[in-house]
Amino acid sequence: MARRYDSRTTIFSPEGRLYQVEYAMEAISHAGTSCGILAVDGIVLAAEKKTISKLLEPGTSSEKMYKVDNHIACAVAGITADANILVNNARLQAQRYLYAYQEPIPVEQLVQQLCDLKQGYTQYGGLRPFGVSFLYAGWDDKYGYQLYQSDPSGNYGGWKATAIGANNQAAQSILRADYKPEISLKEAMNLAIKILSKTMDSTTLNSGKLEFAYL
Amino acid sequence: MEALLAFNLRDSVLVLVDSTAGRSIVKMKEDEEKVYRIDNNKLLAAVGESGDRVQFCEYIVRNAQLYTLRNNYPLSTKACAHYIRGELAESIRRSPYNVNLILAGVDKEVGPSIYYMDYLGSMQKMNFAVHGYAAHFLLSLLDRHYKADLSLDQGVELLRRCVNELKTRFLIGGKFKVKHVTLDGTIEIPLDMPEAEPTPIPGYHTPVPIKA
Repeated sequence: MARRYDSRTTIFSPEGRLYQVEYAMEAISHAGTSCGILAVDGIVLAAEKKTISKLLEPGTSSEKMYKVDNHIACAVAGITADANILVNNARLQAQRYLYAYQEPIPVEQLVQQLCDLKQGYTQYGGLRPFGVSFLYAGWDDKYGYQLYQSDPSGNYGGWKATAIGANNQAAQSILRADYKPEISLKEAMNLAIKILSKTMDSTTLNSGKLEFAYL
Repeated sequence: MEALLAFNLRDSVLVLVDSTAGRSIVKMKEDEEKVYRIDNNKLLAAVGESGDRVQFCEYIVRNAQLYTLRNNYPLSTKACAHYIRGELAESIRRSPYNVNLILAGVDKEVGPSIYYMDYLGSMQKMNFAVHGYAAHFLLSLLDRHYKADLSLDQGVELLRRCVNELKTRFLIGGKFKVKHVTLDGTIEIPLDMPEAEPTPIPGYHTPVPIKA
């Protein structure tokens, strides 16, 4: 049935679908939820950590939140190893732009460059796509505070509030109800925690299970 | 040798560039365009080896316009200057472009700015800048007469002084073109200069009574 068309990324199925890309998105839907909310005076990114253990050394590395440049941060949902490669690339692109133009990279340009990279893995090379979705939060002097989301297909969109990972539909419906465009950063932070508490599997919510970032 | 001069006015930039194209002792044309329009409020003026000048400037202009097309907004003057400097610095270590440049631009938040670059890839942001042998004559003149917040009329008057100095004292002369860069666009200003008249020196040209 569909099995014949999913072993290679570089071919379409007869129904016009790219199965490898869809399977990548399926992998992400099992990952910890990440949500982002654009406020009037800032942006909030909040994420649920999946790997929690008393034995885990805190502070050595982050699973969900990464700083890409002084003015851009991103939250991850999906395969952490894939995310590391892409975040490293994003950091490189941001510094390259700074080297060439002596100005911080506009947020959308960074998102576009990462998405072009992800798209390449869906069209040529015979390699599987990256199993990561990103939420990018950044500020630049052209468009102010911006929130973007990208997925393994290489598509991206600008959002006022969104969520990726497990239970993201539930999170999005709560956001649709509770988000107001005039929301302040403080209210956005509260809203983010409320979202995560509703979408997390476990009953208790404590700081060890969350990663939080705001711009 | 070619002359290139630019200085900041209150909220625009004046650029003076000679328009002679020549080889060795022959002047081939007197209306050569050495200023390239990057976009509505940025000009790139270049002097040096003519093939290098055209090749490099057209490359920069095309890349700057590609940026505008891709992103729906233009490069700022500062970003453009650093980009150009980077290209010069990269190419000098491979196959150098023998061009000296001035980038003149006006941005809404920053105002007028002038970036002086030479063929080695060094760059400096300045209020007034001169390239070529003309610098030996005009930098001192500008040091003396340039002020911040000049109006267009004052600026053109200062330009006339500079051209007069070159016509009087500089061995190699020809025609000049003047460009005015503002936030609304770039325009060429005709500079009708009568034949240079030396400024009369009292005591040399006209007798001055000797006070006892």
